[in-house]
Amino acid sequence: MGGEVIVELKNVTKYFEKGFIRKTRNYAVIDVSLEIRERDIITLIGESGCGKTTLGRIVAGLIKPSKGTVLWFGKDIWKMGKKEFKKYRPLIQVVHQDPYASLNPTRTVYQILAPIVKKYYKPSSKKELVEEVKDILSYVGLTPPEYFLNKYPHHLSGGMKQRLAFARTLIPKPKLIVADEPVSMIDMSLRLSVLGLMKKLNEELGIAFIYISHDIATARYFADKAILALMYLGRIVELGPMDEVIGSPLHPYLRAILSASPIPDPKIARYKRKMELKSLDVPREIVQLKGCPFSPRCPYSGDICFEQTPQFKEYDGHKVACHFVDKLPKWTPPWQVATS
Amino acid sequence: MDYILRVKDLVVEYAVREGMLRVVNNVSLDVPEGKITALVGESGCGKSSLLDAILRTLPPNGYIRSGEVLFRDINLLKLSKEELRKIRWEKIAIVFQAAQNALNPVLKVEDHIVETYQAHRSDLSKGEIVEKASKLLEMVRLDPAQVLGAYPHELSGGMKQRVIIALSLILDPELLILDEPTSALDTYTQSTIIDVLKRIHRESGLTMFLVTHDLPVVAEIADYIAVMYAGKIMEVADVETIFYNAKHPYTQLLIKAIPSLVGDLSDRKPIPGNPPSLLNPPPGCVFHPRCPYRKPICDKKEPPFFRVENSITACWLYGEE
Repeated sequence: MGGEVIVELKNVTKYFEKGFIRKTRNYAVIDVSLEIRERDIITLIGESGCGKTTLGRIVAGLIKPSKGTVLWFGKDIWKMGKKEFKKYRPLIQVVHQDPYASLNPTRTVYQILAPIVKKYYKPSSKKELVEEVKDILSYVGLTPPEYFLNKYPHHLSGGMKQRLAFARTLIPKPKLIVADEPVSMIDMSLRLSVLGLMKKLNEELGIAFIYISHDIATARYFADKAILALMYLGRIVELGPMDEVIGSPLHPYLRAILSASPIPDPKIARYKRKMELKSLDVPREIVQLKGCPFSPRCPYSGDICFEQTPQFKEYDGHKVACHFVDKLPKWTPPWQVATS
Repeated sequence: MDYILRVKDLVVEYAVREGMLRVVNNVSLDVPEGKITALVGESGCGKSSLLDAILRTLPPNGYIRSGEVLFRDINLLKLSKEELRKIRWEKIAIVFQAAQNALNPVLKVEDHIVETYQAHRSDLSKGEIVEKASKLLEMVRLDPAQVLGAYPHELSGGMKQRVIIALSLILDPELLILDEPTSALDTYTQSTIIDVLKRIHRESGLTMFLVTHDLPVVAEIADYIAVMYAGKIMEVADVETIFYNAKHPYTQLLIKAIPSLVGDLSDRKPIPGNPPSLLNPPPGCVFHPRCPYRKPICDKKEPPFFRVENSITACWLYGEE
């Protein structure tokens, strides 16, 4: 850390309006502030419907927030002129979850990449263009590149498609890639190879990442030095360096999902103790604006939790939003209990 | 050991434009009674087709070319539709993938359960069925008072999944088949489903057959594991052998390819290469193009099963011709 701030979110809220006469608001993201510096990796973790994808799209400038500002090197992106916006947009790239849907099935690999290379690199000849495309393919691990040039997306496996999706994002030399569940549709045996590619892009090209996932284990493999931001029903409830947050989690929700995460080791998996919540399911009334979003399920919640939204403040090197953060019982990792 | 379900030399093919796609290639598999057996494999390895063949729910372009599926001593592949209908749900219950969508949206949970019961049996009155359903709902950690009168859209994904599990038990089946029971659910909900399944198994000893790609889930719940790759069974063993002492190179590499929350990650790595196309599978052992221990025989002849310690493994490392 310590690099220049690329993107800064200030008190960003996004709601979607439903209905025509009697409008109701569905809050997807509530009052989120976040800084992304050069070369940073931020992993946004949360369950489905917690607003993590919406937040990713706000960072990428694809959705305009209802309240709050998004700053790109200190400039509000929604107040930029058309020209400036056009310059900024390609510098943040998005890789989607489903590589089957994000690539045009009627175009070959060459046809997918060549127009973008033409636009950004302005090669002087066809030969140079082909060479550029081949270089990019080899860089993302689609080797030998000659073999792939004339293939259609349906000839490629899930892992190869995702590599191609990354190849495409690299051409405008982005500063930041928002990767939204990039490995959840990829075969297990190949997941790590796509995560490895992302590591390489971060280390060699200095591209910052926002990695959106529901799976802390893959996030941990992608970057143990990353920052983990945990979302629950639209809010970030805990934020800190990955190994510290996993090693000594504070927020009760984080503790609950860590204790519930399956572990690929039968001895640990069978004897670890899961933290019990008051309610097994997310409450139906999707987002309340009053109180702590986790209070109906939290085993430690008191009256204040239903009344006031806890502030997001520094504690023990993390940032956490919990009223009782200094009164919570000491945390022992469930897998430690299992192995001792 | 007694086996409740035995699959013998099963071959399943799909007719596609490019030719015949052999998705299940000579698979034999025994499911022991009273245990939880898991069939594990990556997407496209044929595990769902194997399940479809067992239940005879293949799509119209799917054909069972040869083989037997024995439930106790009955060959399911030879039954008439009516005979099969009696076995399904009454003897073999199924929780399909994304079962959240399997509930009828215009029926209350109560009516759904009663209707299902009455379609098969008429020995209980409606009140007795509801009473039985309530007990099952409690077993899957749902509040019957809240759930019985609810429509599916009023329930969350995890609750619907648990309703389906309760519904699958209403006729006291002898075998419960679960196809990816935890996919598309959040971490906490997933672990609730696993807890519920463990509890059902502990309290009733029900035999379960689980098909999934999720190895961490299998580590927690399964007694025996069969590993499938490119239409073939690679290795069958108990859970500890698979995770700590696997014999087949594919199993060993697959275990190493799963990220974990615990422990050192430096030895975790992906399996090099890509799964083969089933239209044009490699000769010999299907895994040989990606295998680091490849021998000359591997691309020539398909390996038979060898018994190595607690494992049954199809790999030439453990025997000669």
